[in-house]
Amino acid sequence: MSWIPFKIGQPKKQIVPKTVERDFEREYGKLQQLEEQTKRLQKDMRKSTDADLAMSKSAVKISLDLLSNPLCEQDQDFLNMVTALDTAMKRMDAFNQEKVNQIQKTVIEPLKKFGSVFPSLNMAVKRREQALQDYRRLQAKVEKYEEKEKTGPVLAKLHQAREELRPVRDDFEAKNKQLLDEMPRFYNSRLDYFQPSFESLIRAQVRRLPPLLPWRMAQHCFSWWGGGCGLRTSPAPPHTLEVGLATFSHHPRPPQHCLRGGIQALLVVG
Amino acid sequence: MEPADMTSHGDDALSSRTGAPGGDDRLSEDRSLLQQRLAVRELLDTEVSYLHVLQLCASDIRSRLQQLPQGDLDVLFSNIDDIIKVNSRLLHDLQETASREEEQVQLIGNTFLEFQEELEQVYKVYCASYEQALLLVETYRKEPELQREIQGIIEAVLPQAGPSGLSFLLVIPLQRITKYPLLLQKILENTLPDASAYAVLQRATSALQDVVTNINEYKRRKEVASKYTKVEPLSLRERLARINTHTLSKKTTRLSQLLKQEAGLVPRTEDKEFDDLEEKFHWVSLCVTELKSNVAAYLDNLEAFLRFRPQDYNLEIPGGPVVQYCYLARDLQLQAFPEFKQQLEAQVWQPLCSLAKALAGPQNLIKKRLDKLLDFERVEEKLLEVGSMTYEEEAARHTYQALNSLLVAELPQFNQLAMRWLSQILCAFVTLQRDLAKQVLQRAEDSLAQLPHHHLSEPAFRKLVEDALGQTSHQLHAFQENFEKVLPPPTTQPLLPGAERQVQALLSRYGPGKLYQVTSNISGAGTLDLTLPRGHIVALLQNKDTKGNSSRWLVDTGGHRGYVPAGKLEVYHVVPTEEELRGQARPHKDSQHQTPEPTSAPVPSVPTVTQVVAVYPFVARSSHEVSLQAGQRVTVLEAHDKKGNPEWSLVEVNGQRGYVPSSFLARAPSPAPWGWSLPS
Repeated sequence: MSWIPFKIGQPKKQIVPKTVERDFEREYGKLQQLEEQTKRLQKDMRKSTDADLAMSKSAVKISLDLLSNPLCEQDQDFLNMVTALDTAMKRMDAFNQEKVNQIQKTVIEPLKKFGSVFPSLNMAVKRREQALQDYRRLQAKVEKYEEKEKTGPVLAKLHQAREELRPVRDDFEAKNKQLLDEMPRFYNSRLDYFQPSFESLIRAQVRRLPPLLPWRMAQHCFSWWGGGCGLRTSPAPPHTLEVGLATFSHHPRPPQHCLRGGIQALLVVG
Repeated sequence: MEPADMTSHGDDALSSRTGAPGGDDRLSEDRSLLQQRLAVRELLDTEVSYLHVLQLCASDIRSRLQQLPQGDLDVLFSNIDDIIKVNSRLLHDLQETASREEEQVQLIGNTFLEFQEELEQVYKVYCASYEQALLLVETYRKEPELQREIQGIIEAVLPQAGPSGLSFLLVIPLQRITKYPLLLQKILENTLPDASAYAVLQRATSALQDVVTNINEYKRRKEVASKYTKVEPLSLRERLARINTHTLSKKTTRLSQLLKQEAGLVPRTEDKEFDDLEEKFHWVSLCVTELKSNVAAYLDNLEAFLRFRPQDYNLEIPGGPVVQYCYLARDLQLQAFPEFKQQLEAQVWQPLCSLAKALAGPQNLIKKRLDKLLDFERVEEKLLEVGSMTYEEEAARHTYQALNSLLVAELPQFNQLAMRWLSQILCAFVTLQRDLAKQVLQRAEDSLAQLPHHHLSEPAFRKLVEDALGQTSHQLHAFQENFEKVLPPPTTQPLLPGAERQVQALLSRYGPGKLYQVTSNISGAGTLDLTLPRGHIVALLQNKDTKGNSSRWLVDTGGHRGYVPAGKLEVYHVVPTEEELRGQARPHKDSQHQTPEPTSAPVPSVPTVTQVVAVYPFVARSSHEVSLQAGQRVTVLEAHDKKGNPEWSLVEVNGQRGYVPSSFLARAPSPAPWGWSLPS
């Protein structure tokens, strides 16, 4: 039999039943996918909130630059309009900032924490794998001795090999069982874990008065500035917000093409 | 054209009245009256024939000139239809005045005053495009075939047009508008100064003169504007090619003028009015360009925001808030936000771009005006010194004046319109933001209604979430710990029987402190390096090699000597043999402890309160002791017993505390290649 190349380390019989292996693969596979998705979700969530903040920051810049234009000193109407705009933008920014903080606390942080369990899991799986390799190797060794002629030294070596095998096999079994128990539990824990986060994510978008109020105020200032095409409207500012809004909405939204036509008719524009 | 036959009748009628005594004054008065009536007649008649010709041009001739492209026809005939409309009404009103004879002159004056504005508006357009029309006529003249055809058509309709048919026809409106002041002047001359009509007529005459002046001015401005508003983007080469002596001298002259001004040698023309206008324009354009770039940045950020889709990731969670959120986010991202972006582009960005483009014209004109101003100043200087100027200099002067007057007239309008447009754009921006906020709010509220805790107030909900997260965080931590607790593989291998004897031999030769166990297979590379399997026991001879390298140690395997990497060696604590075990079956805590010689010397340096591994099993025989299993990890609390005897250690295992023989414990060897982590 010596001419048959003997692969040390590959036991002849299947030491781990296929069903067990399949179960393990399935559970671990689910968890690997969950890991991937939570990682990407966390990254995208963070990038999304960053972009959200960037948007409102650039909106604030709009009104800031307008305020610093010397036209504001000359033209009171312009100043009023720009101030109203600025207030509205700043409020929106503050609201966004708070919303993002809320999301950071209740969604992104928990996601990170959830994700941090995975390295330990992966380590544990690797250790199981290593134990499996050791198990296989020693099993092969035992089998090798078992197949040899039963002489004295061979028997001694066989006994020795079996002694070595036992703790390793026990170790593997223990690891396997532990993981097979823990993995599904961990996987299912995601349900309890994520629901509160996402609920607070939805709630973060809902705020009643603050986001709309600044806009209404800004519109109020706009409603009597820059009237219709070519016509100078100069009504007194409305007394209440609601009246102002009504004035605005009844005022046919002055078509910009009138103004555009007016400007382009000028010779200076060419 | 009907000849003025009526005049002869009037003459006859009047001449029969003469002959009254003392009628010299009366005579001249009558003559004036006659002249006046003739002048009025002339006005009306010429108006009728003028209109007739116009109509023929606009309808018959134009429609027959089919070989010319429509664009050309538009330039040639310009707004002739509008002219016809206005003049038709003018004629109608003038003819009506004929019925009220005494007041006719006054009514005529009034009519012209009424029509002043319209006439100016409609004729200035025609006049401004007249030059271009003439250019076209020139080009036609160069093509004899075409020219013949055109001539033929015109002769068929209006034979009196003569050989220069088209240009003859096209100049008629120009002639007419300049004729009005002259016609009115004629009537005025023949009107008594104290007549009520006189004042009105006088006003009308000067009004129409103004009309003509304005039309000329408009024409000049338009020429100058169309010349200078566009700046062609020239490459460097093109710019260089344009330099010739003429342009060079122009520029050097301007530069020297500017320098003279800077040096104070020559007074600068201060024009406060213009400077103010220019300043305001400058601010307006600054506003527009800043706003444009800020809006562009905002749109970029919006686009970036839309790129991230956290709702797309699948956590395999079948229902509840996670799914709600996914719907909400998808809704917002696929509908609300793209609509917002679209509207923003249409109502804010596009208009801003148009407005920004419109800035270019005035900017160029202002620049050009400054150049021309320098020219103008120099010409003025020369005028003062010399008293005359060349034709070119005269032209430069005119150009400057035209530019200046154009800008002064139109910049205020521009500024105002631009500001208004700006405010419209900003208003649109605000409205869109408001609408978006409303949409988001509404959809989120809808989602909220379906959430389990929607009835809770915000602070209550926050508390709830905090608690929930805290709890699950603990749970996660537990999971993490569990995963980390996966046992490391058993490391210390039991010795083969033959090896034990070898160990004893080494022990007796070198002493217990020098024994090391190989922790992982060593394959020697050099001639003096050993190849040893894992678990082999060696004795240390030297802890560095001949070159002083302390990571390579010289060891004795009992048979061979050689070098091995120090990292793969671990201090070996000699474990008691079977006999020794039996000897210790009944341990007591007094110091007279029966331990075999070799093992007494090495005090196993079990560190205090640390993790160790039990190498051999141990069965507890009393309540002070605790059982061990081989390979089990235990925590050492004290490396000696109550009496200080180091041969017993107080350990904790499986929650139980007790004493075990110290020699049964081994310090945890260096980590296996893939390592494990100690629970934190």
